[in-house]
Amino acid sequence: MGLGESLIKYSVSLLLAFLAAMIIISLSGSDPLSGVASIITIPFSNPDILSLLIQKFSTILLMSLAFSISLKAYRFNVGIEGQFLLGAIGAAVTGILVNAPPILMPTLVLIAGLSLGALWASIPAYLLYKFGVNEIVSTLLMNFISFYLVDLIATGGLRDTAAGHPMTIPIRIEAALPTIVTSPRMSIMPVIAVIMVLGIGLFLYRTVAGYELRASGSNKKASYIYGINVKFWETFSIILGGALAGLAGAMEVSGLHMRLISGMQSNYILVAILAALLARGEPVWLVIASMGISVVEVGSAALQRTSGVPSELGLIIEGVLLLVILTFEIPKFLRRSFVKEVSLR
Amino acid sequence: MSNKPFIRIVNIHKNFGQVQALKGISLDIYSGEILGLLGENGAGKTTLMNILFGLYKPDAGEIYVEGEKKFFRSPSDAIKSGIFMVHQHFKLVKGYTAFENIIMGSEQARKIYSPRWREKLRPLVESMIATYGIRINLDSRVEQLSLGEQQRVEILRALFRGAKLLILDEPTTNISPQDIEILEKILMSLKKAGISIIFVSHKLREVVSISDRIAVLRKGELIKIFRRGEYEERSLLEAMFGNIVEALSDNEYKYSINSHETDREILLELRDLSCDPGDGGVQVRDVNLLIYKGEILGIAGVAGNGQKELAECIIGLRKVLKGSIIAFGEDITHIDHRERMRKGMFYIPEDRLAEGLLPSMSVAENMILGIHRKIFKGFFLDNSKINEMAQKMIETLGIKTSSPLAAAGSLSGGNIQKTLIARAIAAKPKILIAHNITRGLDILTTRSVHRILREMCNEGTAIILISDDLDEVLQISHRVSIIYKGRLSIPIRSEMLDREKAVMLMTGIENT
Repeated sequence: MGLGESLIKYSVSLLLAFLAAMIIISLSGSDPLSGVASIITIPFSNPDILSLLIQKFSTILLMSLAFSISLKAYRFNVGIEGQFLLGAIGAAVTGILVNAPPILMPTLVLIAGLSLGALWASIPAYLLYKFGVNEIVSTLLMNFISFYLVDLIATGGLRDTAAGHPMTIPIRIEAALPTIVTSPRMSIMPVIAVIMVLGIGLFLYRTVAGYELRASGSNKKASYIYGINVKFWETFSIILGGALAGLAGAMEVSGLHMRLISGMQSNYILVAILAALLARGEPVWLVIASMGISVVEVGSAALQRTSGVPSELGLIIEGVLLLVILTFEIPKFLRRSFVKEVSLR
Repeated sequence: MSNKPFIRIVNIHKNFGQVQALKGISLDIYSGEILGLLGENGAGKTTLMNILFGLYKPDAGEIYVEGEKKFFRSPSDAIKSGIFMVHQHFKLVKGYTAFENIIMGSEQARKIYSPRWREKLRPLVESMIATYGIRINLDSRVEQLSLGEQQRVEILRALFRGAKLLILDEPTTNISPQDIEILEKILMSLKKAGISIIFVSHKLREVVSISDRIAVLRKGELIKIFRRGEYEERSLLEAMFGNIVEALSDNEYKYSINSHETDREILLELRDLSCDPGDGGVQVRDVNLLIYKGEILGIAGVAGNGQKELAECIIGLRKVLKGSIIAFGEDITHIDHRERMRKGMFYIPEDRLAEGLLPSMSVAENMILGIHRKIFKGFFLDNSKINEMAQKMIETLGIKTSSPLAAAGSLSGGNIQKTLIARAIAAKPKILIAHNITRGLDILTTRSVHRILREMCNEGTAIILISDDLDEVLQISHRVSIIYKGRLSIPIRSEMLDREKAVMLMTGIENT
């Protein structure tokens, strides 16, 4: 499959997704063309909403990177949501309770989030390594535990009693991430996310370890025969994904909300997996896919405020996009399995 | 043979992207004839048959069945016209008996509305079996049958649905020599009953012995049709390969044996080796073998006699139950396969797609699998070095790929095999275990693979060549051993082993 072919496929998918969006918009009584146009333009219309877009983008990018790394080892870490929350817990607790030199605080908060995310992921990873427990089931179930863990902490000793919704008191002011723009306030979140993408990209494609991880995902049996410790890389990919998701959670706490809030995971898991699948886990494409999805997310939420179109529109667009692209893949798959013996080319 | 053809194929064209797979093929098939379709891999045989069976649509051209123009949208259209294809890999439903597979989904079965429909069809099937003289145990489940028997079930299934034309795609690749004989007898009796057969193969000997006419395809063109008894083997070869036949003459090809075992170093020794059969594998027992530096030891046998088990045991992927393996003067029986590979052993598994290839990774990345830790001692990988190495391999082995960065999964079978062999070359192993490395490759590719093995062995590598193809083993090995039901015969120098005797050993007629 050439680049041209992919380009056509993706353009057609995009077109169909927006066509679906236009149908929904006209059903809810608005002008479809201007509706779609505003989804794309609103996120860039003023500094406030632009900063919201960039924050969303940073988190989605990190989360999709977290999912992609295990995807490359052909494992499906759908526990990035729980790992994100554990990262947030780690960051909030550290940010509130630890009293370290101010210069160290942001780093400490991020490291706490990252380690807790990794620790959380290492439970299903260990179960996979030791007993072959399917990671899709175990990581997904652990997400539920993490929801209640967040509630426990957000309604426990660190609760902000003034707030109507379960959340902790704010973290210390020194623990906040440094900002790159002050008004509207924008922390170094996007910088961290992009550095991580570059780092993981470098790891996957420029190191022996990354080669072994990808080989394990490409053909487990062949990799094993030729001396690669497949089980190790599978486990490692899940834990590394956990660390990245945990970092994303810590980043939201110390760079955006300044506290742990029940429900802060939003629908990140959904859109992150979507972005990872669209980009097939390739770090460079992740940047583009995450940006596209963030635009649709922010744009459709804004459209709801201005014209009353339900904000689920964003999910519909993303869903159709994925559906069409997956449908494009199917005929190829069928061709391959039915008529294997065609030894042309 | 009647004068009016049963099927006329007229001026069929088919392109896949830039590749012209078929360039205007016209062919008649008569009732009650066996038509051999001969050609190298990629000549267009399978594509043509897939069009005739309705799997592909032709870009241009027509198909007439008994003078009537037909359009096949799918295989079921072709089946309605009496055209059946038996694929190289059989398509039977496991867990069901041979009888159930034969009647499954047939018209006759659909017409009977009775819980005892199976019993009602039974006499029909039994009389059919008697008519064509096909011996098969109808009540065995498919997985209990040998591949040869499964093939007979496939043929019976086609006949039960009233096949008038049977397309057999590489029917002799997976079955034993005895089963090939039985197949030939069955085809003869089908022919007498007026059924046409297209026998698709790249194995010259088999096509010649059975076909009434032989159509030779080369690069998408029908070169010539030969009638039985009106040609020389040489002209067939010329039609298949063009002007390169000179280079293919047997004497030049035969490997010359120039060194003596006595003054050579023993690299590998198997002592009373018995391997863990695992789940449903063959028990390899009491194997004693010495392998010398710079020799090719061929192990021939019918597939499924313990070849895979033996190979895996030697490389360390399978447990040793009894006995020991000594390599480079050291007992390695209890060392794992990674350590064995580090010491200089290397393995090319039989199943190249499932056990060899990294389909989503580049050709270049595929070539360093297993040796990447040797090439790159540190943390980082040098992609330009990998690609440079790969480019060299691509040139020396003549691998057809757009670039070393192309996904390996997009290559054709022969080029995938060469990619895996490139790995073995780059590894510079002292001992190489190669299992069926030329299966499914055309003669030219096979030949270049053989040349590579010869070069490796000249440089001192000991090669254990395990193959289902007896002729290949006889052609390029110094010594040959036959494997039958997990036991190895005493290796004999290949020029002293008589082909007849080898076949008898392989089929168990004579004891190993």
